[in-house]
Amino acid sequence: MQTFKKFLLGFLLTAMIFSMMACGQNKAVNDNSSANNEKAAAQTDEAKNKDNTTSEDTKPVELKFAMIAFANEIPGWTAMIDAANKKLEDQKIKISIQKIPAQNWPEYYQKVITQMAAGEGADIGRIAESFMPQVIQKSQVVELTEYLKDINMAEYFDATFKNAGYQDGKYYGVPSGVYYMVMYYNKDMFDAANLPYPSSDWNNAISFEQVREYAKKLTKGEGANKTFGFYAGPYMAYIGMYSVSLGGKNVFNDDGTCALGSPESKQVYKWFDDMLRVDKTMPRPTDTKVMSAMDMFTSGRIAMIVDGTWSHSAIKDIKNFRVGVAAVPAGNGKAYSSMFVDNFVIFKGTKHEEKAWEAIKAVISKEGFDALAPTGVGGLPIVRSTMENLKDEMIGTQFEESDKRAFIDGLDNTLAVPYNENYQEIDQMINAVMDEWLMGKVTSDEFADKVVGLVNEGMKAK
Amino acid sequence: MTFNRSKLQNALIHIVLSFVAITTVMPFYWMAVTSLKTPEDIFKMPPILFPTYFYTQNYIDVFELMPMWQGFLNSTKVTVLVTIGTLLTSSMAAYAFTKINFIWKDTLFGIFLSTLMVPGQVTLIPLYILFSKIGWTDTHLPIMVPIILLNAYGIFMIKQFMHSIPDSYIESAKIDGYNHLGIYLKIALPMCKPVLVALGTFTFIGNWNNFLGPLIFLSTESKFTLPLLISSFRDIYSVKWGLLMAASSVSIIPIIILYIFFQRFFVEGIALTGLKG
Repeated sequence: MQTFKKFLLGFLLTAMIFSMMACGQNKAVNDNSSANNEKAAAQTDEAKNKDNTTSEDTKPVELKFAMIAFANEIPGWTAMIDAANKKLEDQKIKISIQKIPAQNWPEYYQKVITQMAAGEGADIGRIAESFMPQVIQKSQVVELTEYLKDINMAEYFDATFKNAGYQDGKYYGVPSGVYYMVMYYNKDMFDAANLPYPSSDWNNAISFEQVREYAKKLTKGEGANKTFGFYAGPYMAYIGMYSVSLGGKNVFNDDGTCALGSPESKQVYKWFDDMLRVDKTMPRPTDTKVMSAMDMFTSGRIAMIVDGTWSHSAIKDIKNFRVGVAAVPAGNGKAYSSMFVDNFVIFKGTKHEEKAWEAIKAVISKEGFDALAPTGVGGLPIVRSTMENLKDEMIGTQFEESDKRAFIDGLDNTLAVPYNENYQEIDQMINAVMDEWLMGKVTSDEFADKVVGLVNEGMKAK
Repeated sequence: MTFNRSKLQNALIHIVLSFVAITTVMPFYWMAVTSLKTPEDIFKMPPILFPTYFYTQNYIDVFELMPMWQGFLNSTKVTVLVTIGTLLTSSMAAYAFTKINFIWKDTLFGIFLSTLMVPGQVTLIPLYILFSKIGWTDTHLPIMVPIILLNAYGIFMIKQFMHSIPDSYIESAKIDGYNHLGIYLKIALPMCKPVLVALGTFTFIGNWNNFLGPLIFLSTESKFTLPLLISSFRDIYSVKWGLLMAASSVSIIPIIILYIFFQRFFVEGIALTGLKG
């Protein structure tokens, strides 16, 4: 018996050791890459010119594409990469997707820079616009200005190229699609309350006062069964669009100081405050902690919601009520929409920079966006012909012409969010104190002043 | 000594315990029920507690969208090996620190404990670079070997328990001709069963749910563990609640099985460790 126990223990230990060795062996045997580049952050001319020239390269050069792997987006991006790979066959280039199952952009970014530090970074990838100033400042992406001369800009909505990936006259990324803000509303709730639908005309949008008035009439019930009239996130990136519609500035003044304490911005914060605390027609943080505002809208508990077009695929799935699309509320008639443009980039440290550019060109081609657009992933396409040919399919056939018009016209009223390398940090600091205001511990004016202090301090610290 | 309780006291105790039991079980029940609802039914008010129709498409979609079986196997392999390895190495180290006198024993133990103060996130990038140089990235080794070889919490937990083993047992065993390995295997380890089960349970659950390490060190989808696959069902814009609940329900099955089989030892271990600590 004792011998058996010894044998069993020895067997278990041996099995454990061998299985661990087997895990390591797989990687060693399958890893055909050359020694890791120890200077992953610095781009050298040797790396630039180091495209495959050996006789071994009859097989395609494989480029890694780092993709944030949200389950509902994988089919869309995969379709786009497949279309790009078809275009790249003649050039013997193949894009392989490296799925990064992060829950948010900071986790994705952590993974990407960790791999770059070890010289195992992806060749190309997609980065959120808010991270672009940071990656540019840290020289983690390749400058694309010269490469972009290759592109026929007339085929694209070229204004989208001038996003946070465009700094000091240089391009560091190309748009992967355009997201912007619109107002979705529950048509059935409006019909039941006998209210006219919000305007779909971006030059004559629903006013702040009208929103407040409608929200009061559409708010009903109490507790878990309460339905709210309106929701919009009072985040830094969105306050700018409301403030500009009142004649104010978009987050920052011309001299770079924070404009969120201006009379126009304070008016916007007061508007939110009145609906949150006076009228109680907007859900508070305690309401949206368990169930997000968009989940509340899709389940018929919010009548109007200002949200990004990234939610459009969830909106298209709504079957329980009719949804309308309207212009974002405005202070003085003309509405503006904060625009978010994520970027395809070439990461520094790639051994195949020129081939990586060819890959990017194929990805953002008409064929690439024709494959992506119908899936509803990635925002609106930046290729003009794709937008024109597929707009009905992208927006959804259940929407009326006025809704489709409101959706498309939003693109002509966009406002770039003034991202800089401190934006992420400052935004997190502001969000950390926002609950004090939303829970009623400070007034909206006090919150606005606090925000100005945080932003200006954050800028000075850098 | 028998303790006679009145029927009323018994009833009150049962009511309180029932309330606690319902509160504990309710989240799991809600998760299972949500996994069987259509997207429209998930947020219906009033909430549907007892669905009359079971929407199994969520489970089908989960397995079609993600390689859940592969993730299940990967998680099982990593977690079982880490648990067994941790128990072995931690118990050996605890025995050495408790029953063997060697130079700088206390200093070394202090260094071990001090590693508990270093957040894991701080060492991620240096560890990734190190493992990259030895070809371990995109394998399961980085999420197994460091945890097996140094689990300061496990060593501390077992060490505290081993202090209760009388030295006279050790002396007797030495007189009988056993060396330290024999004493460890025949006396110390069997006596530590409760704490081993407790540590094993904590280690199993902790590693089963480990997300950050696999996220950083693994790149190939076929090597992903379950937490990585489950996280794909939520993104920054929306959450596919039905799919997320279905994936989560699948992932907790081993934990439930583990708890059912080891509940007695787990409770015993916590109680004994608490008394002797």
